[in-house]
Amino acid sequence: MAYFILFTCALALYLTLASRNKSKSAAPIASALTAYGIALIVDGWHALGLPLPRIGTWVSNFSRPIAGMIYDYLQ
Amino acid sequence: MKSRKLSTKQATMWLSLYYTGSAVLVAPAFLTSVAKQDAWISVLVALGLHMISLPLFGALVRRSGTTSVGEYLSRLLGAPFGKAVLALLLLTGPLPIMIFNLKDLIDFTSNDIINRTPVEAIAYLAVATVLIGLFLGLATIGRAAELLFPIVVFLALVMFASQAPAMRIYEIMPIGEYGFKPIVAASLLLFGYPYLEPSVPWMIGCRMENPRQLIKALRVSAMVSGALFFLATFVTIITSGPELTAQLSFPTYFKAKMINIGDFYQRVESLLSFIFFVMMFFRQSMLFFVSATGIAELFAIKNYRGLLVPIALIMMPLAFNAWSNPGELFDLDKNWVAFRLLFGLILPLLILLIAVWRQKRAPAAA
Repeated sequence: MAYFILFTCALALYLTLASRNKSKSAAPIASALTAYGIALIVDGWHALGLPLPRIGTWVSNFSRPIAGMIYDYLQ
Repeated sequence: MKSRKLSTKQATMWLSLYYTGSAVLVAPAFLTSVAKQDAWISVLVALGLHMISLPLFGALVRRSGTTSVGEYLSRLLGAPFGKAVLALLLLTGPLPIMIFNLKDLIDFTSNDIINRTPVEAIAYLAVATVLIGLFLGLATIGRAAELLFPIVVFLALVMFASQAPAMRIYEIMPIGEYGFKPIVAASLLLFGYPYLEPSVPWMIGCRMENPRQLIKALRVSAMVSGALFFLATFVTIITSGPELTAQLSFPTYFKAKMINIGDFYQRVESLLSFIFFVMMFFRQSMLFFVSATGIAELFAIKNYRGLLVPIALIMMPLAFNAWSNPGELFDLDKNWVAFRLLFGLILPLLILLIAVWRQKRAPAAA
């Protein structure tokens, strides 16, 4: 996973340079860096073995009461 | 120079592959677990429900026209509320669906095809293909859909026809044994996944040469995907029976593995793997594209391409952790419809009602 993080850093650098060449504005660089920064945090978190949100379980728990009502009616 | 927008034909084919996606492999299992041998009827009911809901999306598409969804929402609700609704559409639509689809692909590939390959490698390769496609542009994927769609349909038909020797029509009897309620309950599952995802096609509508043709594309693609779901469910039930179908994670693939005619014609499941990977590519491409363009609009970023790689990097660890066991997936399958009814039907309906109300108020104020 470590080389994966390095790969991410390299890509971030590439994108930063590429966007600086294309536009004089700092906005593309800032947005790209922010996006890559978030990606690095998430991937780093995962690489360290720390718990990430279980999106499927969240969605399931969120919609269970309504789904329950629907299926109770249809049983 | 060729148009960089999608033609109606390309959109229709892409949407057909998008809707069929991973559902063709798993739909027979979750439908038969509720409706038993009547699961094939629930496919028809789900298709009917989808056709009924299409005019709602048609009204939204007609109103937004060539403007992007984010711009339209900002104009309708004001910038802060418009962006908030766009964020809600993204967070409850393409982003979680993309994560669940990748997890589906990982589960299927690592359980049934290449068991000893690390799941990370499967995910990176699948996502890298999608990213390459999206860097080349929307029109390129549209042309790829035009090329691959006939092949996919042909191979799917070959696979279903290959199961003819094992078909036992009595497996669907007695029809309607448990009444109509389980059929409706099962049809809601299929209606929720994959049909009730209107924010996804709505966001590509403005990228079409003629956005008003999106509804036509949706209607035709629903018929094509519905036909494939019907065949997959019907053929699986009459070859395996409803009990076995309901217990398998990927019943369509399991049945394809069983095909053996005269010890000569076998290993037809490779066709299904090919079909599955092609459909998943188009499904993921559309979800990725819609997510990237939506996020770019949300944060006023001009080019969505810069966001593709970071989105992929964020999405992959989330997909690895989407659910921990098949029990949780089964739970999600059942509860997903309520989630989609809230954010895939009621939310667009509210947007439409506000649009109609504002349209009626405008001449009165003038």
